[in-house]
Amino acid sequence: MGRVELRNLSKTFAPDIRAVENVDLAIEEGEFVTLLGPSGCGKTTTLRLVAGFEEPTTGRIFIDGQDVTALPPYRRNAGMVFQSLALFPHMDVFGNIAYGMRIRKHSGTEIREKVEELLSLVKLSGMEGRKIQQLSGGQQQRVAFARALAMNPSVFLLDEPFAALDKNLREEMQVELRRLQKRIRVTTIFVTHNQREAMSMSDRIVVMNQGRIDQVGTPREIYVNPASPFVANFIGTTNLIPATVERVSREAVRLTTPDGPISLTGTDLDVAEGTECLISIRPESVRLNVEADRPVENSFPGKVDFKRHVGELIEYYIQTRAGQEIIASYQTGRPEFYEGDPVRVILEREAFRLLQKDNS
Amino acid sequence: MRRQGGKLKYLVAYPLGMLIIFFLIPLAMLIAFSFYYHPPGGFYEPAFTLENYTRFFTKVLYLKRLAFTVEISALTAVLCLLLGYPFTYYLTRIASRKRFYIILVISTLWLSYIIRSYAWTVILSKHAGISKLFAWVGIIEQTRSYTPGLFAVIIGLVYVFLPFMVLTLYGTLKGINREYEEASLNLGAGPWKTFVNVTLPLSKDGIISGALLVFILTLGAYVVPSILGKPQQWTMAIIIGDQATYESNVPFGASMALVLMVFAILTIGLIAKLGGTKSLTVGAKGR
Repeated sequence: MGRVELRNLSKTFAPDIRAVENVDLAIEEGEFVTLLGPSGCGKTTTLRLVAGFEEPTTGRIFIDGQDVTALPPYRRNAGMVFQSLALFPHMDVFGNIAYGMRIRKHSGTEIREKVEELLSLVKLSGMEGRKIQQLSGGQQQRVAFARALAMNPSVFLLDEPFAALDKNLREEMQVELRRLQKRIRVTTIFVTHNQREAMSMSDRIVVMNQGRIDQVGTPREIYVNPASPFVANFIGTTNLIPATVERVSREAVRLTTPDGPISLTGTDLDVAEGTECLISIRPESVRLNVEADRPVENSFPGKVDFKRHVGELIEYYIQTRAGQEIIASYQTGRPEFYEGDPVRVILEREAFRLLQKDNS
Repeated sequence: MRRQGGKLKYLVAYPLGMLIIFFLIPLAMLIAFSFYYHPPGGFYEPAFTLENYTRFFTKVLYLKRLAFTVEISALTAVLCLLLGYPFTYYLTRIASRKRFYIILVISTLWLSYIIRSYAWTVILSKHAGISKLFAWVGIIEQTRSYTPGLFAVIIGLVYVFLPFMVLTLYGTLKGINREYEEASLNLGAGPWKTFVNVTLPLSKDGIISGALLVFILTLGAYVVPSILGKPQQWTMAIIIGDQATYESNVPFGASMALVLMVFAILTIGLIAKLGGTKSLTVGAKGR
């Protein structure tokens, strides 16, 4: 129960705002998939298409192999948690969770048992008589989960449910949601613009940009191997260095950058000589050395321009000779540099990726 | 601190002064007049007599007018609600250019009641009005006049007070987050069940205030029933006006005005109490 498939899905709002364009996506049973992207990237529209609140301009939606494209939202059995939660203010906790079952005329005992089971699942046992307004933010979240799961939905949809929570509560709820989801093994589509949230919760992440899917993959894949400069930038921080492919041989690719030559081994990227591209390297893969050392491969000189402490890490902002800014992040305790120090920037060979320049 | 206290005094003095000058003094005068003595052929003499009230409560004629006024006010409120709710709902949920439609609704208020009431006398007349259209279409056999009469009074009242219903409901309906309705659809309730179980209960406050507003406005209606109605359709306001102007009996008019006012206050209290505790829905029943 719960396989979701989107085939060539597009949604155009009048007059010609293309919210979602040619989205193809298959979500397996029990999988937790996050739609990630900046505001206006089409992630919420995609979710609303699955829920049936929007009608696709083209394309089809399948849930458990059944084409639901033409079905209204109340025939889809997709449990949704809204950004505002939308818990009915005129009903108590029990009334909210029981709503769907009452509409479908389940028996009183059946409803009571199910509500009790759900409340214990979201750790709210004994709260059925509370008014929504009497609940804390975290408790309201849990009631919203329970309400959406009460009908045993084929797919569990969440539209940025944690956006309004403060940081601590948000992390608590992230853990809670993922535990809950693993326990009941419900197929889940989660929408967020928060890349940390996506990284820490998902089986797979779908990075969306301007209505299209940029990349689909596990959090690790997307972090280590971003498919585009947009993804590299959106997931964590990265350094993007413009480069031109100079020579491609079997074992290495040689590139020129404003700060000097760089060579890349073991690349499976199919690049032609003369191509202009971008090198992406994460700050934690940039090493710094004292400038007086003898030059090493894939390194160039620079100067510490700015330095700041971020938790356990120190971030150095290095100004290179050609005027580029490279960020390096270091565990504290390593040899420390100070603002104004000349340094040698070393790019770890295994850690960088060649990316095609964005067309946009 | 002292200076601030002094300024605060002036700030409070303004609304307090307004209240005293425009509400408390006239009300006190009305109450006083209602106990005055009305000498035959004269105006009034200060006195304390319950004669005005006993006259009202012992004469079937006056009690009937009160009953009719209450009935027609309730009917107008219900009709305005039935007509106004779907319209306003459409306005807040579907229509674009909401502001334009709202201005259109308000624009009917720019003309005086008197002009609009006379307009209805023309529309409902035998020779110029909708009667001709009805006869031509074949709904009725012969053209006839609907005015003056009960039908005309009801149409006039609904027409005149509908904008107040729409404006009151508009605020409430616009304030209902659409996600509530979407959540209901998502949980398997179709459009009608969603309306009954979510939208309607959430708009309860607007329905109550709108209906009360129209009810109370109609309780005091004077122009529409006097232009579009026969004496059988005269409301309390017309009877009160008659007493005060034509019969020169201000004390009796004042006592009837007070009876009407007390009645309105009791109605508001009763409905507010019922509305506060009663609920219309499946979910609110608890377990």
